[in-house]
Amino acid sequence: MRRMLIVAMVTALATTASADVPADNAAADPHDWGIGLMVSVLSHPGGHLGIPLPDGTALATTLYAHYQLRPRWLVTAGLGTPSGLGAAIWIGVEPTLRLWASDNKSTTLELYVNPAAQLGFAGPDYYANHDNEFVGYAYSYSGPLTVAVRLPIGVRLRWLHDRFETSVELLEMPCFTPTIENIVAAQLGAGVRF
Amino acid sequence: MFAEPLAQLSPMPGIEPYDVNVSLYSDGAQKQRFIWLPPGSDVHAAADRWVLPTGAYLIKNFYFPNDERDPTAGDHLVETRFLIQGDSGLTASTYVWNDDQTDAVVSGGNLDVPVHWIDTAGTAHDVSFHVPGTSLCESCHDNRELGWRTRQIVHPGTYSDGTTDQAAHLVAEGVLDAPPPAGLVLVDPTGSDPIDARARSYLDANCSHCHATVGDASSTGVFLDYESTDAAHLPLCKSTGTVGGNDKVIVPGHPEKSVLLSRMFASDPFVRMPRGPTRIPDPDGTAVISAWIQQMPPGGCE
Repeated sequence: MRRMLIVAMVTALATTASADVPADNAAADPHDWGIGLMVSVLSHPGGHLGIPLPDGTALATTLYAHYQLRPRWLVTAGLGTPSGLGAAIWIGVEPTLRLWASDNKSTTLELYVNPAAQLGFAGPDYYANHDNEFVGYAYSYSGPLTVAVRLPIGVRLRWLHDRFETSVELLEMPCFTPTIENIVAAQLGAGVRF
Repeated sequence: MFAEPLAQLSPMPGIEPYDVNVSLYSDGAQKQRFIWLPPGSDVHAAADRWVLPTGAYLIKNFYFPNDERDPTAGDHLVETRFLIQGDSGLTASTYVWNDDQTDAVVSGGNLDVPVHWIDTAGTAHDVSFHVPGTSLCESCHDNRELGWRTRQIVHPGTYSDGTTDQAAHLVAEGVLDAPPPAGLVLVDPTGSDPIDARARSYLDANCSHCHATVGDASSTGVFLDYESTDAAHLPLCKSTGTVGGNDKVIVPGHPEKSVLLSRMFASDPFVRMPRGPTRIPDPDGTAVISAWIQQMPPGGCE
């Protein structure tokens, strides 16, 4: 059901992004590039790779970059340790829908989805979650390959005249190798645009 | 290296059996150890860690007795590990035994072997023995073997050559170049020695390969080798990450409040200690550590 909703959102956003935009939104965004950091504040299954927490777990962390291809379309890429997995990279596209803007457009709120293809390693958390086994941190970059699809949906605040951005999103990540499973996470992001 | 039938582990000439004073806990598996040396070479008995010659093979077989009450019931071999001393370090490999016990096949590890065995009390155990991935070997061994030390090899024994100590026997067999200098000897954690000696022996054998000045956990400042008795490294009242609501490594007099023990019982493989392929808390180890902490005088953090 959730997946159907996301597919419907992607379709709606793609349709909206492709439509003629009103004149007051027609100017291309002045800052085409963005880089930032995403952390998973809640995730299932959880993991131990990322920003360490006092309880021994960690905030799964991903570095991201995006390029504003068209007014409402971005190309995105990321590198990090997604929840419950080892090191991974991903690349995707991101249609957006502006929900609100301040009078002088210095602050905007937008809805986005960011379907992406991800390739990585299973990592020690995969074996801890599946086999109750610690296999060593070397598996973070040398374990079995994982192939996954990222399906996040979120809202992003772009502020200080598009210089900074912060976001919150729900990420659903169906994985197809080494086993079929679904990883769900709530993520916070922050970045800069230039 | 072994005569047929392989499962009897009858060593061929040149393969010398040996034993250690305190074994690393492995979910109840028992072990048989052997060493093979290139012709003309021997082990140098240094003051602490002995030096193996290039080309030396260390062989360790993991097995469970089918029925501890009946030696004639035989053993079930699960794994045979090799450590080979090279010019610049150790190479590890492992072999997993087939169900017929006729052969063992090289494996990358990281798999489970179901085992059924009966203990001396007649209790049946069904365990899933985990064969660790060979990539994990380096994490504990850190390019060194762990058992060839005075503290592990020197112990009384009765040998066919008339020697009454393992080290002397190994000298007589040409394995060891000379009797080792006198030094610390670990005691049986389940024996009758004082509790402090038994607990420290257990920690030295099961924890100090990481928790010492040289080891994966050296940065923690928690040193559990026998020699670390100074306040800075013996973790009495030392703060640490919270486990099970506890945040001190050892709270004297209170094993239930001590993270050292909490970690031995932890189900999370990232939290559980010793970190490695074990899944079942060590009943003997947890008992001796618990008794050791219990009898400690107050340390001011209770």
